This record gives sequence, C-alpha cells and structure tokens, in this order.
Amino acid sequence: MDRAPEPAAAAAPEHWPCVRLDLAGFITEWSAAALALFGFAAAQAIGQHLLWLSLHSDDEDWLDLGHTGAGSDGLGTAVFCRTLDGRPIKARLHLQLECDTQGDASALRACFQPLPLELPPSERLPLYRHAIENTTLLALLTDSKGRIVWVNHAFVARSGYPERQAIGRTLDWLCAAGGESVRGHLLEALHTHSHWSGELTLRGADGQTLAQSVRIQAVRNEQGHATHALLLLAPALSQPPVDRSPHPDATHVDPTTGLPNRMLLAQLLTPALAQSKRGGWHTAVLVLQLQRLDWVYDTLGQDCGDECLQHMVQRVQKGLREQDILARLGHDKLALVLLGLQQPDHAALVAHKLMALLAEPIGLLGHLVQLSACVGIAIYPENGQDAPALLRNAQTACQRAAAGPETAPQFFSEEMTLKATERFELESDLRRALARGELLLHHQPKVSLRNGCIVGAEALLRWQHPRHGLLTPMRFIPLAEETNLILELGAWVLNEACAQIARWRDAGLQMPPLAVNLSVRQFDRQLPQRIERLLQQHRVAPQQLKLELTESLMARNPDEMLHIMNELAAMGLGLALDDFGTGYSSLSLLKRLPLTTLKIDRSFVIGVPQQANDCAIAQAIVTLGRQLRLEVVAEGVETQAQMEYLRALGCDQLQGYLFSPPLPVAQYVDLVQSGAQLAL
Amino acid sequence: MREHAPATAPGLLLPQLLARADGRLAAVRWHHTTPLDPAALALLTECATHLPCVLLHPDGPGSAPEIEALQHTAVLLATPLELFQCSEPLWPIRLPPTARWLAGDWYLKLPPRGTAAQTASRQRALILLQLLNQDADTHELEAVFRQDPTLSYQLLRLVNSATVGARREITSFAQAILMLGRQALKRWVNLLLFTARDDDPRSAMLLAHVCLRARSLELLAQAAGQDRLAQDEAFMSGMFSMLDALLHQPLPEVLRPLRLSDTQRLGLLEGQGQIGALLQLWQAIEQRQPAAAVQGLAALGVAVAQTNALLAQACQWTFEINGATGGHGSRA
Repeated sequence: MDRAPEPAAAAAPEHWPCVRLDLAGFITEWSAAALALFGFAAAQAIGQHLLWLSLHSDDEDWLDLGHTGAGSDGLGTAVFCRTLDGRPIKARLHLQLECDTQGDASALRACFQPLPLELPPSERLPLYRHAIENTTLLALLTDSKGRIVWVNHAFVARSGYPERQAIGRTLDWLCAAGGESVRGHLLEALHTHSHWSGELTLRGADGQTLAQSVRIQAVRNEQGHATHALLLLAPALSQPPVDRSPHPDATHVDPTTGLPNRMLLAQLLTPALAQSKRGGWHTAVLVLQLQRLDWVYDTLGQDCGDECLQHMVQRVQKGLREQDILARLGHDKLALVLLGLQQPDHAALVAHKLMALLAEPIGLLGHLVQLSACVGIAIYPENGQDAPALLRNAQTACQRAAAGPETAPQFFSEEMTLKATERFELESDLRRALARGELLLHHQPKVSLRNGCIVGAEALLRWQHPRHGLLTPMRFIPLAEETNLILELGAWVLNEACAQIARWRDAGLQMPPLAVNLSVRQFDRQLPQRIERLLQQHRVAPQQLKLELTESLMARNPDEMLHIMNELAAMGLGLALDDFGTGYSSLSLLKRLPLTTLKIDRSFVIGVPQQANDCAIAQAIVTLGRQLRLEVVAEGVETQAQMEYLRALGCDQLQGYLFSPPLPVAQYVDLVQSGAQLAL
Repeated sequence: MREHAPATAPGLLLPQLLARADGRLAAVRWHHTTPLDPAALALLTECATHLPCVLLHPDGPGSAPEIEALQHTAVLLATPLELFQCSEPLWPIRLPPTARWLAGDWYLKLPPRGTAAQTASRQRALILLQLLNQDADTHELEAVFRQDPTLSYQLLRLVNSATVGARREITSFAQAILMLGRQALKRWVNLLLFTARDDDPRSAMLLAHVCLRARSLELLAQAAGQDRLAQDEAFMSGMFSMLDALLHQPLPEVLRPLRLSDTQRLGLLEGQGQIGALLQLWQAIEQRQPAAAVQGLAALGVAVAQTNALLAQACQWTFEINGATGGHGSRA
C-alpha cells in the first residue's frame, strides 16, 4: 500500500479500552473493556479524575498529556496505570476531543492502547549492553577454558589494561603472584557448581594490587553447555579501611576524628591519674563544647560538619603538648587531659588559648563560619578522685559555662554539684509527674478585636507539684528540652488537648478551637501521622485544633520543616507562628510557610504605644499579616492603651491579662458559656 | 442588636459593577441614600483614586451640593442617560450613543453552554503552569485559584478523587493545593491545557461579579470577628454560591462531588449558620436593599462605616485581578 497510514488514535481498534471524560477530565462513562483492563467497576470509576488511574502521584509520564496534544498527532503518551489488584499496567494513552453539532467541544475520549510491560526485544539488547558496559562493577567474560574474551569499561579503568591487552589472557595472569589460583575455581564453576564466590587480588597495569570480591557465573547455551563464564568484581568488603587513627582498636576510636572515644579516654585517664598522684602533680580534665557545630551540620550538611570538626580538632592538637590526651566525648564535645600541672590555674591559660584558636573563622563551602567553644575544668585531686567523677564534673562546669553570659572557662565547684543534683531531682520528679497525672492544662482565651468575643484559647502546660505547688513551664521546660522528656511532655499536651476537645463535645458544649504549642524537638517527619492518629482516636475535627510553632524551628532545616508544615496544613490544621519577630526570620521564608496566624510577641506588645520601635514592629507585623492574609494575634496585652493601639493597627485578636489570665478548665468553660466579651 | 432596621440606611454605599461596551469591567457605581454623609464622601473620594467610581447625578448641577463638591475629585459623576440598563443576554452589545457604561446583570444570563465551565481558561492555566514550573509559593498558586471559580471548583473535585487518600473536609484552596501536591497539580494543569479555551469576553463581568461577592464575604466574616478558617470558608462559599449560574446546573448537584464541611454545605444549600447569614446579607447588598442590608450587618455586628470600607477594598481587589485599575490613580 502506498497510502500513508491512518493516525493510530483515529483508527483506535474497537477492543482498546476507551472511557469518556468531561472536559475537566473526570470520568463520565466507563466501558466493559475498561473494566476488563483496570478491574475497577463503573461505580468506582465514574466521577473520578483521569489522573486517578495513574500509578504514582509523582510520575512524570502523565505530564505530557496536555501540551503535546496526546491525541492530535496520533502518537499518544506512554503511561503507567494502576489496576484494582495493584498490578501496574502500561498503555499508550490517546486523548480525543468530541464535539457537539455546533462544533463546540463537549467531551473527551481517552483510549488506552495496552503496551507490554516488558521491554520490546529491539530495546532490550542495547539496554543490556549499555548496562553491563557502564556498570561500576568490573565485568569480564571468559570462554569455557577461562580465557578472557571481553571486559567492560570499569575493568579497563580500574586495572589499567586496555581491552586488547586483556583479551586472550587467563585470570591467573591478572592476579597478584602468590595468590590462590582463581582459574581452578572458574573451571569448577563452569563444569560443576555453576557459580563460585570468593576473593582475589588483582594486579593492575601499574603494579598496584586491588583486593576484589568476585562472583563467577557459568553462561550456558540452549543445550545447557557452559560456553562462557561471567565474572563480576567489586572492591572486597574485608579490605581494611584507610587507617587514620593512632589507635588500632576501632571500637575505641571515634571514626570521624580518629581521637580516642569516651571509653578509651577513661582507660587512658586511670593510669595517668595514678602517675599524677605519685608525682604529687595536678591533673586537669577539660571539657570543650563546640558551639554552633550543630548549626554547621544542619545547614551545610554532614560532610561539611565532619570536615569542620576535623579542622577544629587539628587546631586543638597544635596547641597541645606531647603528653596531653585529647578525646571526643560526644558529637560536639571534646575532652582534654592536661598532665603534670604545677598550678591548677595553668589549665585556665590553656583553655583561653584553645578558645582563641577555635574562635578563628573557618571557610566552609564558600561560607566563612565562626565557631566558639565553652570550656569546663575539673582538677585532680580536688574535684574528683577517679576518671568518671572528673569527667562528670568537668561536663557540669562546661554546661555552666555554656549557660553563662560570659565566655570564660569555668572551674568546677561544689555548688555546681548541688545545682546538678537539683536538676536531676527535677527530672525524676517530672517523670513521676507524667506517670502520676500531676500535669494539667490551663487555657488562656483569645478575643476578637472586632467584636470582643472569645474566639479561641491557647492551652498552657501546668505542673501541680506536690511540694512546690503549681509550676509554670518556665520552671521545667528548659530542663525537659535538654532531655527526651520534652517529647513525652509534648505528646502529653497534644493528647490532653484532643481529649479535652472531645470531652467538651461529649458534654454538648460549643467551644472555640484550642491552640497547642509545639516544641522544636517534636517536629519530625512522623508528627503529622501522630496528630492524625490523635484526631481520629478522639474523633476531633482538625479545625478544632491549632498548632503554635516558634520561629526557631525555621533555623534548623527550613526545607524539612516546610515539608512537615505543609502536611499539617493539608490536614486542615491552623498553624500559628509564635513570638514572631524575636528570632531568626527570613521574610522570603515566611511567605512560603502555610501559616494561618502570626502572633506578635509580648516583648513588642509591652512597648506599645509608647516605644516608637515596638510600635513600628507591631505595625510591620500587621501589614505583613494583611499582605499574606494571615490572622494577627497580639500576646501579653495587659493595658487598655495597648489594646486600643493594636486594634487601631488592624490586629485581629488579643490574648493577655487585660481580658483574662490562663484559667483552669472549668473557669475557662464558664467564661465562654457566660458569653463574656472584651469591652472595646 | 437593633430590633428594627431603619427604613433608610444612612451612609451605606452599595457597589454595582459597570461594563464597557466590549463587555469588560469598566467602573463601579455606588448606590447611596441621600444625603451622603461626610464619612461616605471621604471614602468615595479615596476609593476613586484607585479605581473608576461612578455616582449618579440625576438632577444635574445645583441639585445636590454635596455631590456637586465631588466635581473636583476623581469620582465620576454620571447622568442617567450615560448608564445603559440591560438585563437580557445580547451579544454583541450596541450601546445607545449617549451611554458610557453598561449596567444590569446581562452577563448572568448568558446562553447556556453546558460545557463551558468544565473547561479552564487557557490564560489562567498557563499562569498556573508557569508558577508551578518556577516552584512558586502556595500563596501565589492560591491567588490564581481565588480569581477563577471554574478552576477552583475543578481543583476541589480533583482533590476529592480517590487517589488523594484520607477523606478530609476542604476549607481553603491552599489546603487543597497542599493535599494534592505540586507534581499532581502540574499533571492536572497540563491535562487542563488539552481542553482549555481562550477567555470569552462575555465572561469577564461574570468573573468580576463572583470575585466581588467572594472577597466581600471574606472581609465581612473578618469584620464580624470570625477566624481565618471561617474567612476562607466565607470566600469559598461566595464563589461557589454562583456555580449554579456558571454551570447551568442546580447547586446541590454541583456541590455533590465536593468534600465541603457541613457548615459550608448547609450554609450554601439551606442558608443556615454564619455562612447562610453572610449569603443572605450579600443578597441584600447585591439587590441594593439597604434596609435588609443594614439589618443583616447589625446581626453580624459590623458597622456601616466599616462595611463601606470593606466593600471598597473588595472592589479594589476585583479591579486589580481584572487588570482594570491601570492608570486611573493618576487622576487623583
């Protein structure tokens, strides 16, 4: 025939499954052939969008449908589709417009030309060839006698032998002298076991040896005779890693820095202390915490963080004497033992010197980063008799140094032990409090600045302590933040808030939504699922719960945080940014966040309307809120003058003592039920 | 709350969108009770610096001194002959030589084109695609949906399609965008382009009408102290309350495939709750029944002056998204 073939779509054979869609792509008619292909019944499919049939929500293959006019050129677009039983299918999708009598488009027709899932033979060979030629594994083929007939690119690159030099040689020629004969294994694999796995040492063209693990596989012809052997070589796992540490025992050495770890340090410290005792010297144990190292890891990545740490360790090592011991205690903590000190004060001189060395800027990925260190010092024998006590006390002193306003090194003192003991007690008390139900929520109402009505409340954690009375979070949250307790507390608050909303509902009370504060530490990938489960468990609508986040969240890993926040917003949860304006804020980032609410921090509210700076900030936040269509809530409003100023600015809601302090649940409910309003 | 609304509504300004002869958005005419109070006059003068504002000056010079005073402002004073009333669908429109503007709701009565609302506007679909390719913020994507009832209706239908998973109520376009995800949105917009049509000149006024309604309801909800969630729902309700006119189908049928909250569904279909109250109030404003409007506003707790300001703000937004404000401000 000399006629050009009809476009495939126009000649869609009757047996191709076709479905009719409305012009927006929703399925309106479902054929028997479609049922047979996809397995979905008409009732399931009708009303669904065409994209409902796509296999993965992020497949690129459906992207071309619109533009290329998948039907107009008759070629269609190859797509993967899902089926009722979960088996993927491949089809060429042809779209056609159907027109009414006036020539206006009235519907769409989507025809699926089934395609085999497998690669067509014509595509297979080139693909196989490409795959094996370009794999990073070293691949060789030998004939049945063990002579090389073919090698891939990786082999040529790694061994240094061009293909023509390798072909015709036997395997043993390739292997380093003195090794086991691999050819024997090869012949055995070919003629008896079909495969063999082992190791060999390859001798490269430059004389270097490469330890390789090897797998030999017989290649059989149709009659089952082994005609060739395929060899795949990869670097041997047992190859010792490059030794960077001065200590041979890897379990006692920190892999990143090559320094002794905590365990080895304790072993090294004990004899050193004995020596010190005999000599009548002082020994100082210093703990150095590298501040902002976390930030480097979080923002510049793992490799960069490691590089930075290694660099810092080198700087410290330069400042040390031969006999001093440096070790890595934790991810951002180093320990340093100074032996044979005449005077304990000398430790402070060393500490100052090291702090100056560490504070010098370092260039990382084109950024100039400045780290700092805080140092805690414990002296033997005054501050402890053994290695564990000295290390513990030096760490306590280091924590003190980190918390203090000054950057001076801190010597350990007994008073610090008292503080530490107190903290320890508080921590165990807090664990008991969780178990015994000593925690409760108070609710601080938020009122509308438009009409004075209560429009919500923030749930605030309280601890009814058996001895110290009612504690506010300031007393225990900072401690909880340092331990994993914050996760348990956070989970408790979320659960309690949902349970409270459910109790109100069950009691038939109409209550406005409740907002809960989330800690940075709670913010992980699983947070949305955890909240989803809670909402389901308590049968709470997402609109009833609001989440308040702090700005510091964004300092960690903005992309990751954004992803989690997007998931929460997609669930229908309102998200508020707490204490906006106090910390790290990037306006361009703010624009990307799926927020519903901005809160003006109390620290700015205090200054209005007297302080010009605070007024300017409040005004800027309200303007920003209006631009991004966010609700603006002022926190900590205490005076009529503050309220009037903020209301005139266009602030939507306020929260603060002017209207109400945080209230126990019953009182809050009474307040809402009484219809209390803020006088405007 | 007032027991009885006054028969007249001092100071309340009620907007009416006017078209040019080519059917495009031209100006907003403000209906008012006489005499105009000073606050309303000041607001009008201000508003007229942002968009073309028309006041009817029925009796010519010397009749109403306070309107006379507007001669020197950006407010456009029109005689009744300059407004051509038209409530029937006719195309192309022939304006009488004396007329400058086309009034009336002719655009609500376009000949039924059953499939028109299923097809997206090519212009807006292309804008969306461009934004998606630039990895634009959710805010920016949402802004496109807020301008186009067809696009947002189809978005909500799509989210309801089973692949998206958990059955959740949708309360805002941003939520729908986030639920769907960027990649799925991109594939959908690509597919939309297959059937997309060029903007029909006759639909410009219809779109402006919907946008003014939606934005006004949102701002009224805000003024009534409702939270952001309720404001989003008010906007969406305003937009979706006109879907029957857009799709030429009864509203219950149109809304059936959408996963709306009960408050929204009952508000739209039964006139219940806050949303029902807002829609009834808007009915009064749109039909220019000041007494009923004032009564509805009193029930919401929104003052007349505040209402005037927010209606002006809603008009301004409607003109901005229609690209109809350009160059006007210079006349101030």
